[in-house]
Amino acid sequence: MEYKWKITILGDFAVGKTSLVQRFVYNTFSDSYLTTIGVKVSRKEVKLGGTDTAMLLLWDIAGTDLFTQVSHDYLRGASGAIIVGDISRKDTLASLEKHLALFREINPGSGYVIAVNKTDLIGADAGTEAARRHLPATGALSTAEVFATSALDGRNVESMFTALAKKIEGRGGSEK
Amino acid sequence: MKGVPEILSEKFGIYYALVNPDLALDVSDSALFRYLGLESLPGTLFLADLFYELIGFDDDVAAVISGSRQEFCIPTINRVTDREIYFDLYLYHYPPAGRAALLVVKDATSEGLSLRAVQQRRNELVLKNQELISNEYFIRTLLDMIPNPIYYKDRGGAYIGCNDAFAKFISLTREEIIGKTVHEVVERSNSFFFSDKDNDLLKTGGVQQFEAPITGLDGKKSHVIFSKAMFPGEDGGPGGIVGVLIDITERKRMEERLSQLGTAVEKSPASIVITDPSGRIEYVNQKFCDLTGFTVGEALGENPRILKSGHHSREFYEGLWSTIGAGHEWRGEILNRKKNGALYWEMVSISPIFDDGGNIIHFVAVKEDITDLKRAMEELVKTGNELRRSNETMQEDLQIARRVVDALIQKEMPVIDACAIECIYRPFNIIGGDYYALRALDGGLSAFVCDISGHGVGSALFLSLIRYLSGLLVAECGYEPGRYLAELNGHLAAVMSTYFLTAIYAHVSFDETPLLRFSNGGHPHPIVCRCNGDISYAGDNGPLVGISPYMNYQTFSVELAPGDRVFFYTDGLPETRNREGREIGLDDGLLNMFERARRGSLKEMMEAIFEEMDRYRGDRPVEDDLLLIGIEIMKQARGR
Repeated sequence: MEYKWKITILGDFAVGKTSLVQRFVYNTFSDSYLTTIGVKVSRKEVKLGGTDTAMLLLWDIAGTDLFTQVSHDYLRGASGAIIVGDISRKDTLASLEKHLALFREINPGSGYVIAVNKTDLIGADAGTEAARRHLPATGALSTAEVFATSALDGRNVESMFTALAKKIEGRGGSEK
Repeated sequence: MKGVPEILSEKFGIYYALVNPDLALDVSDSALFRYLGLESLPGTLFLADLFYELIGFDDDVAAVISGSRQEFCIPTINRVTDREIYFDLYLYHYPPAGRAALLVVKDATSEGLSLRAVQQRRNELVLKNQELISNEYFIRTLLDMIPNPIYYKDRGGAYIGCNDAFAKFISLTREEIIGKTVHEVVERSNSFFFSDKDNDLLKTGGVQQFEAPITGLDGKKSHVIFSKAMFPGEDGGPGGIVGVLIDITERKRMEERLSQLGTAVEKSPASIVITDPSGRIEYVNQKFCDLTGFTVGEALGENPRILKSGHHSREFYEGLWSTIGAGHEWRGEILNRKKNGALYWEMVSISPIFDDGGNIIHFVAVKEDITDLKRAMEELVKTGNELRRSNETMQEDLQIARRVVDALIQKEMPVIDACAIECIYRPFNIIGGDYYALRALDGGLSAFVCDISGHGVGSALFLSLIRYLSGLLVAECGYEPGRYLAELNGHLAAVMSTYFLTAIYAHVSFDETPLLRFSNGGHPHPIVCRCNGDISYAGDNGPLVGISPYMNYQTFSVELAPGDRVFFYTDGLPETRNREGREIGLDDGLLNMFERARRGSLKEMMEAIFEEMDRYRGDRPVEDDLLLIGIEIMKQARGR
């Protein structure tokens, strides 16, 4: 079975959304910061169980700040989402709840994971528990699956996308 | 001539394709492929093959195709072909000619890139600002964690920041300090010194370090080491000054105290020696040099054994070193030898000094020359021994004297029919100072009562003399009380002018009318208790006996009646004091006591008088001899 799932990458600006997609799709990393405008859709096929595969359409959506909001049109029809925060910027972690709420409002029942990115900044062995300690322990975040990622060294990037794909499959992700 | 599609694509960046009801694309214009960086693809091309961005929007696409919705748009799609492009994707309901929808791609690369440039700049600024805020917070936290006062000021001398320690040091809040100059945060008397120093630093640049006293606005005086450096401004010139203070007020105070202590040690009247743990002399004070004759140069580096006299055993010194080596203080006396060979005694206290790790690093000996004291002690012991021997002799003499006085004191009263006689005598000391002698004299009674000064061996001897003279004089002038005392006075004054006494000599005759005749030499007056109840003192006073020769003593006469009682006593009775120190007294006190005790026989009355007296004294100890002699005229002569 071959699935096609739209996955939105959400988060404040400069948290590393584009870098995570670049690491996952092309296994590359650039330390120069280039702001994303609008949406950039990348594709990557992942293997599920058996012969099943899924084409992930990764919607790298421009990051938000106080003055810009995500277009709701970008979020419609998404099977899953990765909500990304920067471990070195507390305000981006505080915004995770808001991004997740918006995604769940438009796509109730879709899967999601949390990426606490740039964990290379706090140590080579920073794990999920360390990342979770940086998050608010309230609301949907408290039960969300959290990945301590680093687009720079690639830690947990592949496993996060795969985990999300399996989560979508588990929720009965439709064939497209 | 260019067609419509060429004009739209080249001039307006608009590309289009038609969508069939089965979502197959009819791309009649290859410009769309070129725009998307694709070659013309063979076979049927479906909408989602070319625009995968539409995957997930199946419902929206279906709505446009069915006409339930006129249009649908995904704005600002970013793709990288052979270049980076931005475009808006439109889908319009388009039923003519069996078509379903018109797909329009509008290039927005120019706007996208412009927008990204603006957004990029804004994001970078926000990030930079966040970094600056974070850095400032970090630096502020760092500064506040540093215990030393730190400040920074602009080139005009106004404070632009400081840490908590500086605010505390200045006794102002950070907000109160910022914007002020040094003239507004320290006393004017020293602020110009600091502003001059700042100006010097701004001129020369580099680093400035100096030590200076500083007086705050609250008058608090401190001593501080200033370390200051100039930091550059944006124009490359002096930007301002950052300063770090080290408050050495306490250290200065300690140095002063140490200096005072050093002076005290140096000028100490005791000799002081400091050695290393091996006993090598590291310090001696002036007193040591004065006492031993060794100079400082001669003593340093030596061992204290240079003073060894040879008087003490090896075990003595081993005990000393063992005590101080174990970390304890040693105290004792040592006989030492001066440089000139003279011996001297010292009272020595040696204490170890420890480092932080508990290791002995020095020994300090404080020594006091006790040679004179030892000599004085020896003299004192010698004198004490002599004194003890002398005292023993005296005690032996006193025992002899006591036995003599005991023998001299009359135990048995004479028996006279016409009167009853009772005596109670309580000597205060080993040797009492009171004496009495009562004799029958031709049917009458001769009574001599006296109180001599002192209670020692001399008094005992004097008492022997009194006894001798008083007995002698009875035979000579026992009927003439005035002459009796005058003769006694003459004898005593001639042979023993240093002793004197108070005395009464009395003679009682028992003729038709019993008559008491007496003379008084400074003695408490006799008390007469009449049988009718009257009670009074009798007679008057005369001079003390034995002070001066040729004294006259008046003779007083008192007629008595049967039942009347006459009492002689010494001053121990009226001078008895209660616990408040008040005496019974010779005025009404004594007479009242006699009045209260008047009862029963003469003996019972006298015992009652002593009971009254004991009650009055309470728990206060007896302070003098107590003597009371009573005579009662009988109503009917006994045995006559």
